Amino acid sequence: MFRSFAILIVFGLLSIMSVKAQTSDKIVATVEYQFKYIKNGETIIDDIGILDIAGDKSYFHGKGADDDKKMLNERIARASNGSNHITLAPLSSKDFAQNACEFKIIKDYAKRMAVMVQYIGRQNLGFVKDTLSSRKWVIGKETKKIDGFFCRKATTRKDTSTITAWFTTEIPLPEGPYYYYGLPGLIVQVRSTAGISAELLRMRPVNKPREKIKTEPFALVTATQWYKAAANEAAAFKTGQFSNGDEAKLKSESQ
Amino acid sequence: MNVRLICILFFFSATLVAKAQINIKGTIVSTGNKAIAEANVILFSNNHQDILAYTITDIEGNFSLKSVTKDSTLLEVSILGFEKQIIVLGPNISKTFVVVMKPAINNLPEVIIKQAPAPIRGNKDTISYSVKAFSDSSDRRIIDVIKKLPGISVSETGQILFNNRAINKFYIEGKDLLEDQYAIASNNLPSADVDQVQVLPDHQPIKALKGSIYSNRAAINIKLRKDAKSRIIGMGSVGAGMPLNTRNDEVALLKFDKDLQFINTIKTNNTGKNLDPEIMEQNKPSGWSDNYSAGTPQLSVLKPDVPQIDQSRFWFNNNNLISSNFLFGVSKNIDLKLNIALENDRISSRSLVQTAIYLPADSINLTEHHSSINAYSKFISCIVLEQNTDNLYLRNSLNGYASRETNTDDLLAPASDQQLLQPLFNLVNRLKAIIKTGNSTVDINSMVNYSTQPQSLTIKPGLFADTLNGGYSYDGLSQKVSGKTFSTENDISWLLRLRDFSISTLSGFEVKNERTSNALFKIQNGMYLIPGADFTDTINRQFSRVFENVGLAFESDNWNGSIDLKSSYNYIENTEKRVNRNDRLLLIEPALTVRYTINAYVENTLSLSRSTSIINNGNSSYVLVDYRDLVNDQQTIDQKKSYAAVYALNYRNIVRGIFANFDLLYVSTANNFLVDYLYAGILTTRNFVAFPNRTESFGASLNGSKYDDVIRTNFNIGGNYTLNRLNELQQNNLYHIIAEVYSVHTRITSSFSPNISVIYNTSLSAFYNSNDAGGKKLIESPILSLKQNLSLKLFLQPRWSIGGNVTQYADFQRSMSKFESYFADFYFQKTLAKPKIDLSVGADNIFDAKTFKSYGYTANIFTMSTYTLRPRSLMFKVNFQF
Repeated sequence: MFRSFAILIVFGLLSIMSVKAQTSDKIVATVEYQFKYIKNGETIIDDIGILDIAGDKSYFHGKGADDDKKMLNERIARASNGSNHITLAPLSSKDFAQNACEFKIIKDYAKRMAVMVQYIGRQNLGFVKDTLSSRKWVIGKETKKIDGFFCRKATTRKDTSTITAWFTTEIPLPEGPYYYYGLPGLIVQVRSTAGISAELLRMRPVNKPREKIKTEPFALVTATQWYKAAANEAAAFKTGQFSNGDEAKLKSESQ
Repeated sequence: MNVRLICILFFFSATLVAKAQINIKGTIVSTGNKAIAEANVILFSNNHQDILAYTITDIEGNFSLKSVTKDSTLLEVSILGFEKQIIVLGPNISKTFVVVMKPAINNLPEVIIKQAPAPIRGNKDTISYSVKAFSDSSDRRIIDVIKKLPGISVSETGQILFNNRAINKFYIEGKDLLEDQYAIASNNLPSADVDQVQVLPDHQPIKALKGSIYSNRAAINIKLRKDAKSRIIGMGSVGAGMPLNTRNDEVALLKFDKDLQFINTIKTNNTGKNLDPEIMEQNKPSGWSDNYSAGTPQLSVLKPDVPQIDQSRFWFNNNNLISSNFLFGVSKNIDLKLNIALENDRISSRSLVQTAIYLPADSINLTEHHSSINAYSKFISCIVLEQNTDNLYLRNSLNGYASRETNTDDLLAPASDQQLLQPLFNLVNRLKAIIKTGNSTVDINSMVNYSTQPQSLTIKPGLFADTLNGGYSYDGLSQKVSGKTFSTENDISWLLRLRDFSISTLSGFEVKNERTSNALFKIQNGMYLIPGADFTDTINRQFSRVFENVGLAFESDNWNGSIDLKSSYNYIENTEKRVNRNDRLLLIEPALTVRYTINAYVENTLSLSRSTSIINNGNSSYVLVDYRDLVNDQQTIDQKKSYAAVYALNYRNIVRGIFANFDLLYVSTANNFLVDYLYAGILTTRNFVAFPNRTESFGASLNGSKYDDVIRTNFNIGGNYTLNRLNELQQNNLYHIIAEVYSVHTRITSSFSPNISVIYNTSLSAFYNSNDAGGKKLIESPILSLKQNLSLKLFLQPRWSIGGNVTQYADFQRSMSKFESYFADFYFQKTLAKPKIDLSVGADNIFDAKTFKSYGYTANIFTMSTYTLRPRSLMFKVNFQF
């Protein structure tokens, strides 16, 4: 009797947990930003940054990079055509989106960290870009209307750069593009002295959340290890070429 | 003492601060007492303006805030899915709260930021121009906007060029409704219904050839606004004016559905607006036509050169045009197109032309007062069935052309009436099939052409009595020429693509049969008499050739190249009344083209070629091609062997809105004939003499445009230089003639304020001519020609606009007087929003300029022309759109 009761309780608890998991990790809104990274006058990134927000985490990724991946998968599927032999049509730099945002940012609310993830060679490596609780924004008195939203100005510093954000409390999501987080409202515009900028393009709320955030498995390393791996890969890539002879460059932010 | 004082002050201040600091802690929970993480907790000042402190709850729902204030505050807690809570806190309250949040459906709003579309955006494959960004409120037709787009220019006949190269297709929503007659669309499609004008650089219109055959020409695709698709669009105008009882009426109905597109227009005007370019095939090389055979002499009524002023200023016309164009989507990939146009016009003009032909010994001066009327009717039809898929391209087109043209010229000095009748009938069928299987492509072409062209030129009274009638006067001359041509050309080619290379081979044959007869008659007392055997002939021309072309092409991302070798064996047989001629010619024509894309912005192309053209229009009799030109071509076969080098450098940067191109052209032609001009009074006799004769031409042009989207201004600047060296025999003296033209032009188009639109054009050209004959070098004074035009539009509120333009033309020649003309036009317009109607009144030629004078050079012939202009006029117009 006790055993049956215990099983029922455990089953019930599991059900509650799974229900909770079902509601907290579903995407409640998708926000799109025009995301740019301009370094020394050269446009490194000019892409649409997509921010998927769920109850337990958010996921910032580039549309251009997503499209590239989709295109490659389609080509491989078409080339393989059911057989084991794949003859891929020659690819050139023009087949890929220009200035795409190759990295992703996963903000884990429970673990209080923003992890930057990117394929370095064939390895998907991530490191803690920022802790979600450490960033202190200074909210000033400046306000302005941006795209119909009443926005307030906030600033913060990261290393040597100053980040200026305009956020709105009208959308009560403490989120923003890239690793920016922690303001009491959604970031509508942001610009850093290191060359990063983002502007809100659109937001699609999900009234009946169903989809989970899908991220690829990655290995968490230290920032030092990550940058070292990127530098090694970039050095190896100096001889990297597309099949048509175009030089292939590894793109990553270096802030 | 000081230390003690500082300590006291520090103690007091610390006490004060401690007094004002408040600590607020708490937990945010739901009604079910579950902790809520990631909730926004904001401490506002009591006016709900300033944020004093903020935080976000942790995973346990806890928060902690500190602030310094003596006033009461507002604590706001918000999170998605719950009602926002605002708690009023009294002054200096430090407290620990448990805030219970009530569930609520506070769904986030869908947000779409409506940003102004970037004026220009795109990538290597497509450049999109926002019509909204480039149009002002006076633009009604899409061509008005296309003219302002950076990197694009539009010729006077409506041909569109991108980076100085003519486009090869004009699509509307991806469909090629009008083929080469795209001016019908560009002139009638309302700009308000267009969202984007897209340029597709290096566009290969045949899908099966994409990746196999490189195209260096761009196409335009019109993207309509969503609300303009699938509905009937209409626009039109009704205009009446004075003097001359002018009218300008038109209506156009358009529809662009997935399976049905049409543009139907009816237009009529007598305001000097020429409707002919609207149905012109824009991609046909200038002066080239397949409507008649080159072997049939073309008779004409001698006319002065076309002046550089706008045609509407000197064109006294009565022009009517009906055109109907349909595209039916028979299936997903098959289109059936039907294009029909019926046009007639009656153009009258008056001019005075003074001609000086500079010869070593003396010069010949002619003065001609023209009063001419050109009346024509023409019917053009085209039926096309086309399938365009990745692996199969099929196309059959049947073009029909029928026209009747009458030219009359009442020459006051020398007194002579001329009348030319020139009907033409032409039928051409073209079949093209391209089949792509794997890496190989087979291309089959077949063309059948039939045309007839009887012509009759009558001149009264009879001229050249000494030459033609023993010195006795007579009633008139009648030159009759008729030509019938049947030709067919068929070929098949095979192209194999191997990675970055493709090799091709093409084999085919052409057969042409032409029967031409010509006779010059003296008219005396109603009788038609041939002055002599030299003035009549009947020629049967047989031309056949077999040809084989081989080509090798290479294509990678940065490099494109092709080597072509054309070889042909040509057989020509001409049977005339007195002479039989035949010839066999083996022609080898190599060509090399290399294109290198330096980076995303810059590409350059070099083409080298050798070609031979055969001009089979030998005629051993004399033909009076106009009232004072007798032509005799006894040369067996006229041949032109040309070596050409063309270099083009193109730059386009859509981010910065900069487009530029630099072109070089050199052509050296070895002719086997020389033209011999013999002047005797007003009569010019032209003979073709067998003599090696090399001509050279060189051209350089540089054009650039920059669009500044802050001041919404497009700057264009360009320069051209052309050099022509040619040889002629005149009065049995060999002339080496050098003709040079330098020109610079600028164009600024600006809408720097929403209320102002400005267009400024200027062009300055210098014409240099020199020649030497018999050791005597004659350098003629250069002609400088200037044109400036300023067009200004002011958009006043509400919906009023005024505008006008001022144009200056000036011709300078050192030894002659300076010619200057000024023109000004003005309009006033009121626009009604619903329905979309413009009411306008316009005045043209406000200064009432009566005549326009200009200078011109052709070899060693100098002309001074005076044209009669349309008088000052007033036009009331109603434009409507639905």
